[in-house]
Amino acid sequence: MRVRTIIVSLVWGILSGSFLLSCKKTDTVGKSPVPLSFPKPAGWPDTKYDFSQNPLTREGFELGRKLFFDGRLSKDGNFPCASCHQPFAAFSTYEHDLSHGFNNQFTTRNATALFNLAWQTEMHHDGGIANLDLQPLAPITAPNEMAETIPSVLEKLSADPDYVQQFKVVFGSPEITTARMTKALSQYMLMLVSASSKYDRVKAGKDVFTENEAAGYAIFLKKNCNSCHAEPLFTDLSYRDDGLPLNSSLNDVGRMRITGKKEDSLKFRVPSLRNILLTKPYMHDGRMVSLDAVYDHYSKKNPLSSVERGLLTEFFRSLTDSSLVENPALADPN
Amino acid sequence: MKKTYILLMVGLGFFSACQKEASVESPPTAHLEVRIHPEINGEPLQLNVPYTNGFGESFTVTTIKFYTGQFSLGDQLSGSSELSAGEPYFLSDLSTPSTLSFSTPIKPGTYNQLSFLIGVDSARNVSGVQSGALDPANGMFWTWNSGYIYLKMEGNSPVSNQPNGKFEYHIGGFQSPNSSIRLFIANLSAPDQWELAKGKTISFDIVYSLDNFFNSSFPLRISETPVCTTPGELSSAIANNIAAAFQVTNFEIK
Repeated sequence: MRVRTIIVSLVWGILSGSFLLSCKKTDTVGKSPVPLSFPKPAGWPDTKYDFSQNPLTREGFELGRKLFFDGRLSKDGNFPCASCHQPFAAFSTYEHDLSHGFNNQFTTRNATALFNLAWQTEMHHDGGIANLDLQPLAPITAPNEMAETIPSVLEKLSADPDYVQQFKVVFGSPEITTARMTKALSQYMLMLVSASSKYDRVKAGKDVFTENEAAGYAIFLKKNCNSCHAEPLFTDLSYRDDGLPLNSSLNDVGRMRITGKKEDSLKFRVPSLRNILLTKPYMHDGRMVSLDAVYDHYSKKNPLSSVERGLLTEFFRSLTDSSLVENPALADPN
Repeated sequence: MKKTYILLMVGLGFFSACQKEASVESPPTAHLEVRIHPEINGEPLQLNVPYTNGFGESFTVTTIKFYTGQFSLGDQLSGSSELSAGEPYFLSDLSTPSTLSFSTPIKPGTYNQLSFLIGVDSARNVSGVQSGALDPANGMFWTWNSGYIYLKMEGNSPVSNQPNGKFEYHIGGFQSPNSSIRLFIANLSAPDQWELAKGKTISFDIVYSLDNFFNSSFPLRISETPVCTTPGELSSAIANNIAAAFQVTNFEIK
């Protein structure tokens, strides 16, 4: 009961906050944007993103949010960032191994869930993108994803007086440039912080695991899952070959494509287990349709009984963060 | 008449330098001008015109674009050098001849060395989205494996085994050991020196020789290697040829 009250008041707070914000907007001309502080969870490691080069503001965040859900960033208008990164799927593509792109094409990898990006220095399954600000350029220009060109996106946005006004408020002048667009997108994506799951409440002493969840957590630790899926991010952000054979139709060699080093062949970044119940299918190419398939794979080296699998799943459920996936402040603004 | 024109140009340069320096202590009040001349077989290189390289391979070029930057003047003996104060990088595009010449403010002084980067320094490859010449919207950026394309050369050749006889060289990469960034240095032979006084402009004519691009330390035959579009050993080898393709042929101070 207590939990429910908290959630309700939180939502009310967000709604009233955005209400105030929209009231303010009418007379923000010439005013500087309102600073927004990054919600760094207590006890977490330092963030890696350089906020000094892109100070968070309410208006910058809102602009990024609008861009994230705007189809005009794609060639035919049908593929906003959010088409592959759906809020209800923890910003991955719900129940899709590969996602859909321009002109009935598939992507070549499973869409990564987007959250806790402020702690990452390299983006994507292979770490090939060296800065969060650079990340949107890849899907926007990929012919099988959003299939656009950067100049064309900037032209479309510049033709919209609302955008011109918003960029002016956020950046001090109305020019819409590559750097400004990607900084605004980063502001939104940085605020996708997943740190309010039941697991987090338990860690903060505000909730308790059920017996099954506690048993599942014990198995998670005993089986050394945390040697790669390290808390609190539930990933150590390293690149590893976990024994998946090469998919010959995709021929994806992973990290080796970036470094050119043989020893990086078939290495992919360890994904976070946060929100894992929302992000199936699993692995970089979505080849495993269920957690059971994943358990089967890891059982080859580290046998898991059916009871252990059930308990692990109970624990993983506690990593689902409704304040990320159901937060109206992070949802489509339209 | 010509003299008046030159004086006017210098005057304008002086004014703009004054405006910029409001917060800088000692403003650079001289200029370094670069004029790049793409050539083949000693002739000005033109797009969409058939040529033959040193291996007897005929080809036409449809695109040449490249980055140069961090232009500096220095002293060979002391090793000191003065970085130009204007735009850090310039994107030259053969299809827009005005981009082959550019000028940047620099501190007056006595120099005997010119240096610049062919490519983009590694920090700017990874630290967020840059603007100006380095704006990724200019199409000289790899999005899936972050980094700038330092030089793009595309065209067609009957000896290429690719569709439509295409050849395509996109040269870049900053990770060791296959970095394709090259530092170009031209030393003035002693005892000559460049006395660059206040208000003066030192101009360099720099040839970009396509003969050397194909045939320097790495013999680049279109028939054998029609495509290089990723960072790596090959890219780095071609970058050595690119560095050898730049040659200072003339300079003047006025």
